[in-house]
Amino acid sequence: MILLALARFLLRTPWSTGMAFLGVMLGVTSIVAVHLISASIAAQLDGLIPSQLAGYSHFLHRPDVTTADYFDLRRQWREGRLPHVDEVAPLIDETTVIEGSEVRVVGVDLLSPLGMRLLTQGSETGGTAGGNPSVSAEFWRGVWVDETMAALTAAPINAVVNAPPGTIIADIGVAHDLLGWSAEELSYVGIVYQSKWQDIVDIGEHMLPGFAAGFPLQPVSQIPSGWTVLSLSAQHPASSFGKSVLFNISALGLLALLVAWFLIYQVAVSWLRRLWPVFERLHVLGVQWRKLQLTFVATLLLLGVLAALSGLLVGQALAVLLYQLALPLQVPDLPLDSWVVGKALFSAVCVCGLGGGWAFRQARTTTSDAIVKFLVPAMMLPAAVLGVMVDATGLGGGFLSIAAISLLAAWVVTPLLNALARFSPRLPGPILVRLSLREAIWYPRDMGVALAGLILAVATAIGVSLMVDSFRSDFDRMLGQRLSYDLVVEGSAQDLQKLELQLSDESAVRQLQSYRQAQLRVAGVPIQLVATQTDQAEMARYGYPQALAINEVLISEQAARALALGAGDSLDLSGSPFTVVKIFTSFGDVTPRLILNEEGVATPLPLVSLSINADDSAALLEQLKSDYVSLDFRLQNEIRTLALETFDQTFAITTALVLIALLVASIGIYIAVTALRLNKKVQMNVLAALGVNRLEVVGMDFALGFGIGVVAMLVAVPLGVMLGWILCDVINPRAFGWTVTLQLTPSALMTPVIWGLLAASAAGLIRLGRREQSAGRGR
Amino acid sequence: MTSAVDVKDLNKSYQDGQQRIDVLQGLNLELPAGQTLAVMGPSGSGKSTLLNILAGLVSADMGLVNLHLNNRSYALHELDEQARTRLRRSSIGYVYQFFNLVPTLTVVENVCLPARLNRRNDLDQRADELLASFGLKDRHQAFPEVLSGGEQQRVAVARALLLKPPLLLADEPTGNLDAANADQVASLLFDNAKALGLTVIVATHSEEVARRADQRIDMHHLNQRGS
Repeated sequence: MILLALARFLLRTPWSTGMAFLGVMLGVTSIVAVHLISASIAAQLDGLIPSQLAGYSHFLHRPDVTTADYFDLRRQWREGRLPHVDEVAPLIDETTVIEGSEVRVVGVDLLSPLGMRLLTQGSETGGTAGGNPSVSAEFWRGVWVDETMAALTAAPINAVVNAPPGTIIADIGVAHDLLGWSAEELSYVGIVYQSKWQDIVDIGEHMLPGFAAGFPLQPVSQIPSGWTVLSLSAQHPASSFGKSVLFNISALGLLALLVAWFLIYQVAVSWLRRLWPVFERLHVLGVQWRKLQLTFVATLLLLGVLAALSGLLVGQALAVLLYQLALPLQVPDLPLDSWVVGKALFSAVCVCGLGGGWAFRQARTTTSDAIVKFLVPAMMLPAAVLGVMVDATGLGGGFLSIAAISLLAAWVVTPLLNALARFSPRLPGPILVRLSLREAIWYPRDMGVALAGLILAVATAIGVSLMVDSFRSDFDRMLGQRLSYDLVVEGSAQDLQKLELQLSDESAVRQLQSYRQAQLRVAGVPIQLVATQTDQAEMARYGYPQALAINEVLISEQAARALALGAGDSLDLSGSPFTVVKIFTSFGDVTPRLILNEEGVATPLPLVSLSINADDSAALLEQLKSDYVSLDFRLQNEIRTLALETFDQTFAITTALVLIALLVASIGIYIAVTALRLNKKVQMNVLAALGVNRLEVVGMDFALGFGIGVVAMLVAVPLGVMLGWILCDVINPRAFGWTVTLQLTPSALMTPVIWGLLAASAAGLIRLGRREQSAGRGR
Repeated sequence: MTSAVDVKDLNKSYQDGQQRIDVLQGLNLELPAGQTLAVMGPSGSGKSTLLNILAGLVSADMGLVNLHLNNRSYALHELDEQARTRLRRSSIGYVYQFFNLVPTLTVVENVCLPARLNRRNDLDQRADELLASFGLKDRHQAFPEVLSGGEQQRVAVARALLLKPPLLLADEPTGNLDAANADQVASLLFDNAKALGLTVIVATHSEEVARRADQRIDMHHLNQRGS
């Protein structure tokens, strides 16, 4: 009966019920949209790693790995000297050129548990198929290829498999033949290391795609000396790069849910204020407080479930829209699977249950919670410092810092309001404005949580905007430096060589720069090696003021981190020593990169691109396009426009998530102001009796909302700058290997502040319907 | 003597669900300037409604309400809400039973509120004097939450008297106080109003308060008689 009465109450307060519903729905929408996009992209990222390698958790590397090294390691494993290691297998993973194209050759032991997966994959090309290892000798000499390689290789094809483009997978012996290696050579040894956290990480990955990228892997212990341990992500940086992006987006997606939790708390406080006299009477009649609390929370849960179901549908639609914005060339396929449905319902139930339960508990206590008072700063401060200072905490540590600092900021709201209240008698201005501004700070218990929600949303908007603006500015500067050539040509090495020859005699060409490239492994880390003419003009593009000598090397920021190198250090490449003279910024690079003088490279590398400066680039482009249809020609302006467009598309999801959080926070403030207004109805009667007119009341409402906004901004702006710094200096280096120089751009600071002030002012101005105002109040 | 308040054939009813409640039925009232009137009657007899109509906070359904304040006449029943608000701000003082003070303003700010609303900054000294004479000298900068009920009501009376409004309305001003405080507040209200020559209408249940007034009316009676 009480539940029915409460349900009727919700129907009699359609405005605030609607706002609560909308808030939770938007929170769920946010996480559903992020989940669907992330799950889809994560599946594509998984495809970047051949499945035969994806099963290994780590790779052991040492200079010139041989089969003898592998057997020595295997012997130690058999003797139990490699604890927690479930499998040890020899592997080859190298690139070579076959018929003019760069091909990745993956060699596996077909009889190892992970290698045997290949034997069970069906053939689409007429080769021998089926899961029987005792097949013909021809089968063992065959290869497995991705669909782009089906026509390229001369080796017999056993099956076309899902693998990154340009991949050939074969037995170790066949891989040796394809690479021209001796029978003893290996790339590394793959191991499956059992982490005790693996199950938790797997569940986390299902709940939050990209989750695993946020946490440092458990270090592999007791590996024999002389071996370097590389994780799967270090071995395949493209995949880990993408998963780091997903982790960032997922973390941001949770913001709206957190703010929705604050909103539900605020709604519950507002409702309880009106329902409390009824509850007290029911308690006098013999109803236990516990039962009243459970019934109240159950009512909110009902609302939460309905909001979650709506959030699922809206979230799916938003996901399709954002996916098309971020990846316009791909067709989104974003089904609502059981994980996302469960996640939506679980989130809504948690938000409503915890928000409602906490509000009820607060309504019954008159003193502030000692746990909240002392435990929050005691726990959050060390967590914030630890997450920022200790790199080993990884991306998760960075976000832990953000969460801890945000909680500290939310915690600081009540003391701040109390301090401002003490200062308020000195506030100047017209009396009604003073009165309203004081009201904004007078009721910490009523306003604190909604203020915290607005603070977090605005601070996140500031932090993200600062990061994006700083990043865009650095990126733009880098493009300005790098795009010093009018025309860039990419394509097959043969066609490029032909074009290079032709252009070297072309009088209209003022400058011709060729880039040769190869993948190699340095200390086990996959590195992209670029060899080019390194005169002063070319080196200026990387911020190095002079020509590069043949024994010198430029390394990207990612390479410097991966190889732990700095300027002045020595780097050994295939037995030749090079001095690192400069670390250059290279946003967008997935793989660490080294740049060498082409004269210092003993074996010529495949030509991958040409850069040209000509008297009339457009005319030259027209002339060459028809002769070299297989090559990809791009003008500098096109590259810049495309790069910046891609950059902006990348952040479309981020912007949408921040906007959703801001909207939910604004609703929270509105609910809090409404509760405040219901509270001061008698006071408004007094003011009316004193002759305060309607226009002045509107002015007071505006001043109240604006005052709330100003108080929120007092915390949101420094918090936002702090978040921006963490995103630029902590999160970005850990996730992508590059540092972004934080720039305090006025637009990044002011736009969220203006939105926050407008939202709070609007919350002050919008009034409830007459019916809603009287709901729950006795006569 | 000119009547400060002249009410003729006043009717007011409220709708409560399906039921119509007639609170005032053909009420007539005339009160000369400078006189004090106690309006008595049981709860629901329309005392507060009458005061709210005289203050222009509520409109009557029917009837004439004429006020003659500061040598000007106002036909309240013909004024729009804006004009009634202006009149209330400049010429009418009002004291409620409780929650009279704005909690976010200090005592002195609460007292000075009518002056500030009328854009007058010359009454700060009078506010100080009033507070001193009301025994609240040391409470200038205190906020209402730290005041006792009696102190809060004294501040409310001081605020109502600050502008020396020609008409002062008080709705059960002592209804929430103990006998000693009620006596003190009633004395301050009536003594100061008399000294300033204000017209005062007090709605009350208290015989003690009513005894201080020049006249008294019983709403229960008036409504039944219709005059």
